[in-house]
Amino acid sequence: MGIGAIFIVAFCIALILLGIFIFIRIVARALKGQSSCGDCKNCRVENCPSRRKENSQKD
Amino acid sequence: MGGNIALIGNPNCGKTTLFNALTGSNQYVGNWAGVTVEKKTGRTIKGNFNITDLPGIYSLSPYSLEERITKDYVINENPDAIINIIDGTNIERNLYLTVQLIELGKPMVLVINMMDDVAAKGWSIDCDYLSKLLGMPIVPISARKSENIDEVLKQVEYVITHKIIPPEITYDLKTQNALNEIYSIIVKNISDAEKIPYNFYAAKLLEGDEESAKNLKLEKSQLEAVEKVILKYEKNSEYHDRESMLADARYKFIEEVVRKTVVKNDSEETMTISDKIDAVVTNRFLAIPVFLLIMFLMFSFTFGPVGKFLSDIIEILVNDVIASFISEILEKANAPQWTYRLLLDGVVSGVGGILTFLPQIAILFFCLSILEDSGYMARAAFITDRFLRRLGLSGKSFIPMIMGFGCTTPAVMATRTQENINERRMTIMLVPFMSCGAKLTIYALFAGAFFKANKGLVIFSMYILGFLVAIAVGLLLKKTIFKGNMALFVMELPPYRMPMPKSVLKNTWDKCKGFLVKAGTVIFSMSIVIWLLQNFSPSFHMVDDSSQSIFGIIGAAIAPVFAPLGFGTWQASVSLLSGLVAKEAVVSSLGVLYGAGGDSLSAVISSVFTPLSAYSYMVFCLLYVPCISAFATIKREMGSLKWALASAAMQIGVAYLVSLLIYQAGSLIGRIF
Repeated sequence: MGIGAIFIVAFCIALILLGIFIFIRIVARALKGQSSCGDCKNCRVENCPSRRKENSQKD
Repeated sequence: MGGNIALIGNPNCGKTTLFNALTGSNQYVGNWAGVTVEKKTGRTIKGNFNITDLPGIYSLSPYSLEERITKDYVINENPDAIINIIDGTNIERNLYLTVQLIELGKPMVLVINMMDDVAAKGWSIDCDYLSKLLGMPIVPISARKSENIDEVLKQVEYVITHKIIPPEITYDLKTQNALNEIYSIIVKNISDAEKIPYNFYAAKLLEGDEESAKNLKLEKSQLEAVEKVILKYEKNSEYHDRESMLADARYKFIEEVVRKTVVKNDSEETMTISDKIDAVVTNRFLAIPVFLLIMFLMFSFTFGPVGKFLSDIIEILVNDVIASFISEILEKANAPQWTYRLLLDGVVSGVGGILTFLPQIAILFFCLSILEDSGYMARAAFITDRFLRRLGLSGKSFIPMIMGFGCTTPAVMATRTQENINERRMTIMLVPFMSCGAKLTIYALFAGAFFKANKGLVIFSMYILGFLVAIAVGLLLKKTIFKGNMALFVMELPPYRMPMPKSVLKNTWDKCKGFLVKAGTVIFSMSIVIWLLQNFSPSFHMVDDSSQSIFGIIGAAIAPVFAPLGFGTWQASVSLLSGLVAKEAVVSSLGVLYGAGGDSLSAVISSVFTPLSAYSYMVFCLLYVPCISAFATIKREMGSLKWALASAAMQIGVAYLVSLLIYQAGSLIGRIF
């Protein structure tokens, strides 16, 4: 296996790990009730965890 | 110079637009009442003020939750100044709140918004004279056009620095005597309410507000004395009702002020353009057909040639440019075969397949933004409320349901405006039946593959079906679990306005950005997880035949359950499971499972499904449980896992029944003819 192939395999493994990590994080946050739809800009409801975080960062 | 400022006004008078202009925020703005249901705070760009945008209220006598939020904030948080924004085209009614705010004895600036509309109507407002009569600075603005916004903060700074408090209003003699008498009774409780002046409490007690009596900790003898004064006051009036009498006194004062300062056009009595449009679009016979026609045209436009053309460009970009580029690199590097499968069949098919629907999403939300900004969506709520009320359902459920067309999560949270817990639980259970934006990708794929000629009509039928199922289930729930009266729904119809390009484009862009972020996170991770589950056996060995994979085995186990609905393949079953994480993942997982995207995915599913089973599958996707984020919100808002699980079970049951009915009835009809 050449250096290019090794690099690609490493990249793909990193991609898989990243995908698994994001997936677990999304599911865990949703189950804990910390996740929102991610559509904060279009949202009319302020009292949601994501929006509160966004507002406090802005302040 | 700094301080805390409360931004207060009637619903839909432009508070959030002014808030955004003052703070540089991008809070959601809509041309209908009730957009803001909770207070939000931001720092002004100029000056050093913390400004709090409060939900719109008509008076300080609160009836609903958002009105209580505003009243509590003003009384308990004690802001340094109040910006009272009023709609210049509706000045009498808006000044009613102003009069009550004056009673609070706080530094105050009156901002008259929509001055461009006032001028267009041929009216004029003598702001200098009005300022003298009310004893506070007045700033005429047009928040939408950002006209004269800087002056607002200058005047706020001025009233805080010089402690300019508007003088007490003198009402008619009878009212004034009653207020003075009450004032003398409650004056000794002064230490209990240092922040709020007594004329406010005197007026509240005269109205019969029990909460104020509690706040002042009045003794029994004081309460009796106050009651005596009110009874005397009632006797002397034609209304014989304490609340109406004080309202009448306030309106008399307002009428006098308006008579002296506002010059209205003589032709005011004739119908405005808004009235003329409403005569047609809210007509009792025409309203529903017009609403359906508008929705149908919107879907036809969304899935018409423009959307298709843009989708094709993205598809070419994904398949011919990006996929070829990756393939070339892998080939040159002599990379192992599984990396091809991961990157091309997994990531590119999954994420790329979803991206091809971006133009349709953009066009649909562009159209919805235009409808909302113009004021038509408020009419849609009004029309549907009329229809729902006849069926015994509350129109208050409608706003969250309309929001459900965008996303279920905020729609579920929007049910907080409903005070009745049973009504709220019922609405939460119905909202997921509305077709959210994410489900659009599923319809676009299947309708594009099977119903090319009537794509718009088929997708439109999904939206209508979701709404009809919600009504039917709502009626059933109301007759069984949630018996009782429904709350009255009062909604103000805003005037029609020309949609602002900036606001429409901003809303559309926000929606597209949200979609792209979702593609880069949820869909990306789902594609990889699905690829892994589809390519590895339960003993974690890579398999060539995906039916031997973890997903293949799980899918094969549950597939027979869906066979009576017309889609008993393991791939279809598994894609429904992935839809539990996000609805777009249904399409991306089909892409990964079949190793295709865009038109090639359409070609694959055309060979696996029939038009009838495809429709049945779309219906199941429309009605079954929402994504995990929405489910978590339902659990949180219902305050119990039991209710959330019951809601999910009900949705799966309904989805199964309706899909079964459609597929079996369709098959039967097909056999007969």
